[in-house]
This record gives sequence, structure tokens and C-alpha cells, in this order.
Amino acid sequence: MTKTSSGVRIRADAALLAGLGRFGALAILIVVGALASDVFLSGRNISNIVTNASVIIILGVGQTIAIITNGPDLSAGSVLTICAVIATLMVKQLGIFFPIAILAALALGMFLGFLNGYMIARIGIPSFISTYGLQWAVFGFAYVILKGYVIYDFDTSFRFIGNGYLFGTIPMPIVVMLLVVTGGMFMLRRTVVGRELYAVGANRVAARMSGVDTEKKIIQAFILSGALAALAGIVLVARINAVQADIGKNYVLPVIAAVFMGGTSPTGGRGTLLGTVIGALIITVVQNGMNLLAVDSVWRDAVIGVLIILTVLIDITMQKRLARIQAA
Amino acid sequence: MGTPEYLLEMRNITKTFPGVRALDGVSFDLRPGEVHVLLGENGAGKSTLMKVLAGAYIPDSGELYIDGRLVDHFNPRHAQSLGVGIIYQEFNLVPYLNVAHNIFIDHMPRTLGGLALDHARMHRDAEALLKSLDMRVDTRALAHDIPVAQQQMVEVAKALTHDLKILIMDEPTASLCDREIEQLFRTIRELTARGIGIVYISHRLQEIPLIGDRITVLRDGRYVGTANAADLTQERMVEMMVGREISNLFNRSYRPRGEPALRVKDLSSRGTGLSNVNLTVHRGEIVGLAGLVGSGRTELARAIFHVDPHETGEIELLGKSLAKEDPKGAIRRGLALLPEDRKRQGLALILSVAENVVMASLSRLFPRGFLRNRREQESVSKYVQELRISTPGIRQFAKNLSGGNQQKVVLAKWLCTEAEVFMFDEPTRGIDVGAKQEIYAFMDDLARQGKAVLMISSELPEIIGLCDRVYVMREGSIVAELDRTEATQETIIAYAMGGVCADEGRAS
Repeated sequence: MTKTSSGVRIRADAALLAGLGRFGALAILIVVGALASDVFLSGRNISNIVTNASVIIILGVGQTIAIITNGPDLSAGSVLTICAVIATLMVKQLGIFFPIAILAALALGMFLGFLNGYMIARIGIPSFISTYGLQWAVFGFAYVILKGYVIYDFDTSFRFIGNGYLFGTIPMPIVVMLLVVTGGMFMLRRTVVGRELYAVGANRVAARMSGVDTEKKIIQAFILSGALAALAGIVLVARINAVQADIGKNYVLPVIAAVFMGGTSPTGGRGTLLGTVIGALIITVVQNGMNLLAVDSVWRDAVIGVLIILTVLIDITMQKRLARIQAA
Repeated sequence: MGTPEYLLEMRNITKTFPGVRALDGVSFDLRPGEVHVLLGENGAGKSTLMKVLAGAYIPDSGELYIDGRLVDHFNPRHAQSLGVGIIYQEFNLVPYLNVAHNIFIDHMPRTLGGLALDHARMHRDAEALLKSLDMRVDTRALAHDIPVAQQQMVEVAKALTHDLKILIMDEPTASLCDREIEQLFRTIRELTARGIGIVYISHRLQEIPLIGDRITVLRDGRYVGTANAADLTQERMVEMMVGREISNLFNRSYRPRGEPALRVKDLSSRGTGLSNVNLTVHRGEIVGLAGLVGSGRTELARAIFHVDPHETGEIELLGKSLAKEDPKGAIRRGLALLPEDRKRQGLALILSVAENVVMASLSRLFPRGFLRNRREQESVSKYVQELRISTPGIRQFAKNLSGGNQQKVVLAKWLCTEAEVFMFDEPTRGIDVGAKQEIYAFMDDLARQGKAVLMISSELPEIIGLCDRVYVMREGSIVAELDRTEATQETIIAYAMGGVCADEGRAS
């Protein structure tokens, strides 16, 4: 017998509460930023923040999908690097038409993602180990290829995806990011594949016994993560107009932090892209604010660290409160 | 003051959670050396009452006396120091510590002035303790590696390392076979002979007269009554638990069987020890698969469903051979398997009721690969109503449902695939009588609709009460096929245990 829909309301409330908690944290940070600095709310600065957040968010979408399905993709930073290196080498040294270079980079990202997925799903190496291992190998290759050199100064046509503007107003990284987020949301919420990814993460055994091809889903999730890392790499180098072998080194952990700040469960099966977007914005807003206020760099890491913990803490508190309501 | 005659007296205990009165003026007592059975359906308040006793919950009102003294503060440590021990259904052992370490987990003996653990003494003491209870468990084995029955013994021994007066046992026989249950009962008698009082929670009504002295029944958080175990029939127990008369637990409408729906020929699998299994299930039939735990019943169902591989043999589903595929292929062809471990294999607890129900039917419901809310809602609501799943809504998390309702969600998942052949592995394990009866009724319904049902069960009454035919398994083979008239408790047990000429050993 279906009773009233009070339980549904409770759950919606809880999701809303947790979401509101995150959103509130972001809002408070924005207010603080606006009070502390005149330029914070200027159109140019906001566009700057979102553009900066775009690379993190594009990576975050891939990371969220990987974590929902199985576990973190620690190789994303290295995949970003090698794909950026290959694409720019093709464009710059070999003079290859840039769309082909971009497609080649995406294909390479997908291949590396496939390797991750294969190691995890078919061989059974935990994602934490297999992707971490792959990261070392791939970074190694990047160093071998570049031998410490920096490739810089690319064609404007190639650079458009990173520093161009759509209709002369919206920075291209934001456009790419919005497309990726919309596509990801659609896939996770509205398609059978998305549903199956959640099922695999929530209970791999039950999913398999319900006819879900769990190994294939895990491989698909990591292929996606690899492709998005490649895309993030293209956008990033096109924007900063240079690439070196450690370009992706400091991305992965902040991205994973953004995903967890967004409420995705570390054990899989639960998480939203909207949460990841907010998590990434929180990190970027604070970094931007500290830049504007010229906060001593010694303090910046500490602030970010405290912030990450606080955001997740809010989330967990909300969840606990909900659990108590629902246990009754 | 409490009454000195009693080891334990709980008077008018009330406990509310936001929105729910879990216990409403419940009283319960226990004499030294007595086994007092606590009966009730899931959600009746048994666990809450025991958590109050064990100090995990603080009651809103009511009094608790242990040894005649009023207990004034509630925390697990304090309860333990007053002599209360509890063995939960899911054991509290540390899997990768050995038996002796587990037994002394919270007060390991030390040596070298407290700097090091005294392993030798721990093993010596653990061995002595186990021996005094006539238990044979290797104290150096890891808890993870020993059988469930022995893990339980370790839990008992662990409780005894404190000055134990009251031992709460929650469904202690749920995962034991008959021989192990006998051993457990011997242990319980040994404990009561020492003057320890046992609170015994169980859903297995048939074993209660064997071990219980008195019975107290709870329903919906209220006290229903207490009686001597000898004075209550099983029917009366059920009535008290459900609050209404359950006329007939098994209500089967036997009909002539149809064509064969599932046929297994000469199936063998070295990995799981199945050898030369042949069986047939017809449309309109419920066929039982009986046998001891470990006789290969679950392995057989998993092999048929292609969860595990098998080397030789043929599986024919609805007249077509089911070649080596995977569960996905089996499902698409109309086969369903309701697995024995609901929480690990049946459900994704952190997903919603709706997500669980459609999980096995995604490609059937949404052939284009895009979800359609309306369609999902309609299918799920249909089964929620049909199976009378008690949930506040289809978006509720599965983990918030009671055991019986969770099992119905798994059942709904398989109904939703529109399967023709259903395999049920222990479909009523750990669920209460009311839900059991409903699940039996649905199985009968399936048979009446011309579906084929194969049911694995360790509960002989349900095999006998429900099945048209029964296969009995022993050591990976089918040793008997009995029809409804031949299938008695004695015959099945005789075949399952192996008669005089049995035990030729498994081909290795």
C-alpha cells in the first residue's frame, strides 16, 4: 500500500537541504568576496572565475562519472598533459590541420581511459592503484617527449577553443564546459546508460545479477573520464598558449575535492554533476578572492584545505540528520 | 526496587523516535537460568527493546531493573558491566584477527608491564573457555576463515569473558543448519545451567518449543502477552504476532502442469562441485529444491542463470537452448533469479525503490536507451500496489524499508522483467510471517498464470506446503525427485543427509 508521499518529501527535502547547504556556502563566499573587493562582482572578474573553473568542471564531470561507477581516476592530470602535448606537437611541429589534432588527442584520451577501465574491470586492480600507476607512466612519457622543453605560441585557429568568444561575448571554455555539463547531466539522469552506471556503483553484484554488463559500464565510465581529460587539456593549452610536461600535475586532487564537496559518495552509486559544478565554483571563487585580496601565498593552501573539509562536513551533517528522520 | 526473583525486569518502557512510537509501555522480565523468547514481526519493537537493555538507547520513560537494582544510566559499557551481553544477527567479529584475539577484544591480557599483549595467555584462556562450553574452535584461526556456526560460538565465548548474567541472542539460528542448531541449543542449555538468563529472538516458530521456557509477544511496539512456551501452539503464536488469524500459510491451487519451461541436462561444474544435474520445471508448477546448506542448490541456480560458468551440460529455456551467455542473456530470454542474499545480491540499498524495480528491465522498458519518467512511474507503481510494498513513495531509498518489503522490491524487480521462469533462492529468509504469507500467495499466483517456479528453501514446511514436486540435492547432485504425495519431512531429510548407501564421495 502506498501511503502518503511524506517520505518522498523528506528525501527531496534532504537532497534540497544538502544542495542548499552547498549553494549557501558558495553564496556566502560570493558575498564575502563582494564586500572585501570592489572588482569581485565586475563582469570581467565573474567571467574570469567561471573561465578558470571551466577546466576543473570539465575534469570534474569525468571524475564524477568515474567515482559514481567505481572510483577516482587519478590519471586524469597525466592524460590531460599527454593529450595536450600530442595535439600541440601535431599542430605546431607537424603542421597538421587543428581539428584532426584535437580528434587525435581525444582518441588518445579515450584509449588511456580504456586501459584504466580494462585494468579495473577485467583484471581487478582497484581504481586507486591502476589509475595512479598509469599516471606515473603517462607523465613519464610526457617528459620523454618534451625533454623539459616548452611548446608555445599556437595558431589563433587552434587557440579559439581556449581564448575565443562565442558571439564575441561568452568565453569558449565556458561554452565547452556548459556543453559537457549538460551532456553529462542528460546522460546520468535521462539515459539507460546513466542509470546503469549508478547501479554498478551502488552494488556491482546486484547490478550484474540484474543483467547489467558491469565490466563494460566501468570501462565506459573511464573512457569518458579519459576523453574529458583530453578535452580539458586542449582547452587549457589553447587558453594559456603553452604546454609543458607538468601542466596537469596539480589538477587531479582539487578536482576530486570538488566532486566530494558536491556530495558524490566516495563509495559510488550516488552523486550529481550540479554538486560538482558548485564544488568547483567554491574552490575557484576562493582562489580568485585570495588573488584579489593579495592574500599571502603561505595561507592560501590552508584556507582551501579548511574550506574543503567544511563543505563536506556540512553535507555529512545534513545526511545524518536525514538518516535520523528516516530511521524513525 | 525490583523483584528479587528476577534477573531482569523492564517495566512500561516507552521509546519514541521523531514521528514513531517504537515502544509503548512494554514490560519484560527474565529469571535466572531461563530462556525467554521474544516474538514479533519486523518492526514490532524487539530490537528497540533489546537496544534499551543493552544500553544503546535511552528510554523516554519506564524502569529497568537488573538483579533488583534500578538502572539509572544507559550506555553500552555500563550495561556490559551489569552483566548484559548481546549477540547481534550480524556478528561483531574482526575478520582478520584470530579467534583468541576476538574473544578478548576489549580487554586483552597484557604482559611486560602492560607494554605487550600476552598472546600465550590469551590462547590458553580462550581454549579453556571454549572447552568449558564443549566447543571445538581453533583459537589461532582467523575469524574470517571459520564457519558461521563457529563464529557464533566465538561470540558466545566473547560474551562470557565478562561476568555475564543476561545474554541476548538475535536470530541465532538464521544461518545455521540443523546439526549446528543442535550444538547451539546444547550451548544455550550449558549457559542456563550456570544461571545465565537468555533473551532469545527468532522467527523460526518450530524451534521455539524446543528451546524456550517462556514467550513474550510484541506487536507494533506494544506488549501483547506472555505465556509458557509449552502452552502456545504455533498457530496461536502467529495470531498473537499478526493480530489476526492466519488461516492457512500455504494456499496452493494445484493445477495440471503445462509444457516444460526449464530443462537442465547433465550439468556439471568442477568449480562448484555440481555433477550431472538433470531437472525439469514445467509451466504452472512450483518445484522445490531441498537439501542441506552447501549441497549445491544455490550453485545450481547460479549456474543456470549464468552467474557462474559451468563446463558441461545443457540448459533449455522455453524450448530453446540457453548457450553460454551471461545473466543479461538469461534475463532477456525470460529467466529470473531472486538471490539468497537480499542485501548483497538482490538490492542496491542506496538506490530508490523505483531504481531497484526497473534495474533488470531497463532495456525492455526503454529500448531506445532514454529513460521516460512516466513509463518508469507507471511500471513501478503497478508492482508496488500489486505486491503491497509498504513504502512512503517509489523514490524512497531501499535501505529504509523493512526486510519483508525489501524482499518484495526484489520480487517486483523480477516481475517487472516479465520473466516466464522464476528461480527463488530462500525467498522468505529473515522476513516475518505476514510478508511470508504474501510471498507464498504470489508464487502461487505465478504458477496459476502458467509461469514456472523453482524454489530453493531450507524451510521444509514451505517446501512441503508449496511445491508440486521436490528435488533433493546432496553434494552437488540431485539424489531424489519426489512428488507432492511422497514429499514428507522425513523422506526429504533422509535423502538430504544421505541414507545408508550414500557418501560415495565427490569425484575429484
